[in-house]
Amino acid sequence: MGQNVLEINDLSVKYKVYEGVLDVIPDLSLYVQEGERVGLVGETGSGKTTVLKASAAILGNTPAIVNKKELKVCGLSIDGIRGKKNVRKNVSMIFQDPSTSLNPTLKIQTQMLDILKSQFPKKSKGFYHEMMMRALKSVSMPAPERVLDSYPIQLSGGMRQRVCISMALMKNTKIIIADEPTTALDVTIEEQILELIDDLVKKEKKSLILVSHALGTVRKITDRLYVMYAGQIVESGLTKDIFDNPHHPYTIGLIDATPKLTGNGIADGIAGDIPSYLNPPKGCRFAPRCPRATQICREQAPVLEKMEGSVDRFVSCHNLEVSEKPVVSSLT
Amino acid sequence: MLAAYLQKLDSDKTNKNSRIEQFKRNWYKFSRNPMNIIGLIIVAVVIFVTIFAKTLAPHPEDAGLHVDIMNAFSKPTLKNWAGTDEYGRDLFSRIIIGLRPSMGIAIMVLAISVTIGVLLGLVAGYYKGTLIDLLISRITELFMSIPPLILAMVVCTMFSNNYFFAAIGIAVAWWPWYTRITYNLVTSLSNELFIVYTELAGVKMMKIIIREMLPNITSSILTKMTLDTGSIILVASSMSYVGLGVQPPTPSLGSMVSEGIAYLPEFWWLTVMPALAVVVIVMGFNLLGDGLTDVLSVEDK
Amino acid sequence: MKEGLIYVFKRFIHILIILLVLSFIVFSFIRLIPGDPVKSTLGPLASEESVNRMTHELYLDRPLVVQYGHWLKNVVTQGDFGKSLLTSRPVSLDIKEYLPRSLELCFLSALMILVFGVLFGTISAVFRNTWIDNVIRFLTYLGVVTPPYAFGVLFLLIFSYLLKWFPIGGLPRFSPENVRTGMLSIDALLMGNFSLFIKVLQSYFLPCLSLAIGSIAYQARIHRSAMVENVNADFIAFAEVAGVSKSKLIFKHLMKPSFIPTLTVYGLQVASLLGNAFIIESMFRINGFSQYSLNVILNKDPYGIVAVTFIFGVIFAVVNLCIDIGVVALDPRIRLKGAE
Repeated sequence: MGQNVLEINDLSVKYKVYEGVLDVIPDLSLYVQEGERVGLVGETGSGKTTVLKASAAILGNTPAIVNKKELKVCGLSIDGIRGKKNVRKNVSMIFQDPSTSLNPTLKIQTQMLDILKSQFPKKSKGFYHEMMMRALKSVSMPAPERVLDSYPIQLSGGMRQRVCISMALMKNTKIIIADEPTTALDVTIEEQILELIDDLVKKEKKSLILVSHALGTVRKITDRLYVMYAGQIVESGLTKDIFDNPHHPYTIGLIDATPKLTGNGIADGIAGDIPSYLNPPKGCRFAPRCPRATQICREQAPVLEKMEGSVDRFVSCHNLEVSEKPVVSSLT
Repeated sequence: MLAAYLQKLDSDKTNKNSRIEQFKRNWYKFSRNPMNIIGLIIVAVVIFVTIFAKTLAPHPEDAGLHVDIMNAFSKPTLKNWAGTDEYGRDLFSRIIIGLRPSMGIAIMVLAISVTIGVLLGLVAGYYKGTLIDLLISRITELFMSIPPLILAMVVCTMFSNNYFFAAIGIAVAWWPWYTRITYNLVTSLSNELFIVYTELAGVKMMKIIIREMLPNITSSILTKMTLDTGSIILVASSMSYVGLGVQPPTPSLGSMVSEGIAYLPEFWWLTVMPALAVVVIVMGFNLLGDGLTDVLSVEDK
Repeated sequence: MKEGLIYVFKRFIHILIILLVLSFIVFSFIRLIPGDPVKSTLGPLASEESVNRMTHELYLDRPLVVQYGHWLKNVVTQGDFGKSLLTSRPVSLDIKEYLPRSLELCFLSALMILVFGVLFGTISAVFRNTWIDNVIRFLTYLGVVTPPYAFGVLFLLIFSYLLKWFPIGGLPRFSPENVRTGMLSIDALLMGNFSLFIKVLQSYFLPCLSLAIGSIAYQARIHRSAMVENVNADFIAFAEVAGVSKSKLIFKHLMKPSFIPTLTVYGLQVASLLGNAFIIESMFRINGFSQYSLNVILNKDPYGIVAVTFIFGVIFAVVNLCIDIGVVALDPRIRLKGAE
């Protein structure tokens, strides 16, 4: 590992809605190194997708106010039209729902061809066909010829996601962003798709950002982990370290909330909801739901600080001392 | 989950304050766009003027066969705001009084077509998939396959060419749209979870339609009614342009335009003023309708 | 493509049935008109014998269904719609005289609606929330709420009376031997007279624009909202990140799905053009079918009314079938589902 292929410093995103301004991401920094597989976890509405969309420079389509001090892809800025070009050259993205991420009115062939033509302009028909077949075969797609000639609705959800992955991989980029690539799929197919992504990323030595709320998945695939809550990173570090010994009360709760084979379905979880972005808590954003919250949590926002004697471990909490003795046990 | 849902239903009913709160929220949303307010004001003024037309008109006698030849073809002045016509009648008064039949037709058409349309739509939705549904759908389609203006004119001339049958004629062409919108709303609602739950809980379908669905579709129907008021006024004015509906000497906006055409271009106000009145009125109803659509669709999200 | 053909064929049969039922209803409805058509044709002095003979010849003494069958047979086999009481000649002759002109008017208007509606809608969507978008949205709003006759008056005043760019009304006259299709622009081209062709288009311009402008405005609004809705769709974001070029993204990936709602609304607009044209026809002194229908209706001419409603039904059906074919070509979802 070494060079940072993606670097976000002090990203802030606000959405303008009729009630006022939603302060979704106040101040966020993260990085991804070459060949690294990074996970981003947090419950629904914690701003994960917004971070990804900012990285892929497609927030422009939404009513978002993006204020980024520094957002670099492969060491290049992503600002302006030139920046967008940099992003297009270096970032591929796989979306959450394969049924909405393919154009319903165009054949798979046409959609793939348009991507190829912009990547490799003015090549022969045979060349493009060869490329498309190779891409589909690389995601172990059965009957690729037939798939090319199909419209998205003629394919199953799993097949569509395979098509999306093959399209994302056709561009030879260093970074792949996967936004909950399996949530919209059957559980039986979930495993296959994740293995596929894992394989391809390993084989081609790409960097991966995987967003998911399936913690089991994240634990298996990623090297390093960011835990997000209400638009902020509350804990980060090596995946193994975090799962073995979570520090932030939110991380503890999140790990505790994963379904276990024993027990009744969704376990205890964390009481309450994500605070309103319209008027977020003054102090720590997690304080209203935190079992350990004290006066200082409600008044002063904690800072993400490196833990002493750790490898890349950051936590943002006022009451870390208490956490030395775990409140709840981790995965059983 | 069902229990939670039923509980929520109860709390919704008992909590009158939340209704008021909801109304305040919607009003706030609505009032943020000045266009909505303009629409509301125009509609309010139109309704007010319609009701008090006879008192508000500076020259109410000009609605009939009043002749003041000395004053004919006067340009818009301070005395005659919209000028006068070939008999010296005050155009402004005639426009104000001409509003009445237009609004009357709109109200009658809406009353008839909403009653029939919504009823048939509910019945078809209730008997979805049966012969009754098929029959109603086909009849609706049949009525939609003739241009509405032609259908209205055929009906109006067949019976009697007057103001009442003009409204009946337009209503005959208009109701299918309400059947269709109601039917679509009912079928899409019946897939919603809260209806499915209520159905599973053993509540009779008829009761579901009346108690659950009807309140849910009223906002859409009301919005459509607001928008349609403008369209009906347009259609009625097109009909009166060719002499169908209100009979002279009673003024109506469409016939005023058509009579004025003969005097173009010197006496332009004879056509421009009533046409302008139609534009402003229709725009008012459209602005209001669009505002309502915005507020109600945001609420859905 | 096979699924598409099956779907279109199904729609065709469906429309045919609607048309038959429609004409039957109008046909029986017409009997409600007071007065005996035979007596009013032959005049008050006709003998009872000749009245009876004609009643028999016209199938009027047979049951309604037989009468209708006879009428339908004549329509299908000979294009004979019966005799008009208003013009006292076969309705089919009247239709042949008036319909081509109106079709020409509506066709040109339909062309304007498609071209300008989509153009302004696209510009508005691409530059959404800028001043260009706001100006277009304001103008289209005005267009939707203004009655077509008001536009007619306005255009006549400005372009014909004030600026004198266009004729005040009426169409160029053709000598009978030069009338081949009845559509003036085509006839002019068939004559090889290009300056006459230009003159025809010039005479058609204002009436077409007055007839079309409300629909253009409405179409632009529909197209804008369809495009804006799709701009936020995942598949556009996905295609953008995957590297599809900007122009392809807008004119192919965004335009194609946006055309589906646009086309459906376009069908409704075009189908109602002919029915709304009578005011414009009379204002611009175009002796067309719409105005003829109005006269027939106002004079309660029974065979005339049946014929014109039938023609309106046919036009509605044809336009709808074309739109169906268009939607099927655009949307594989309908094509694949509809063939089941």
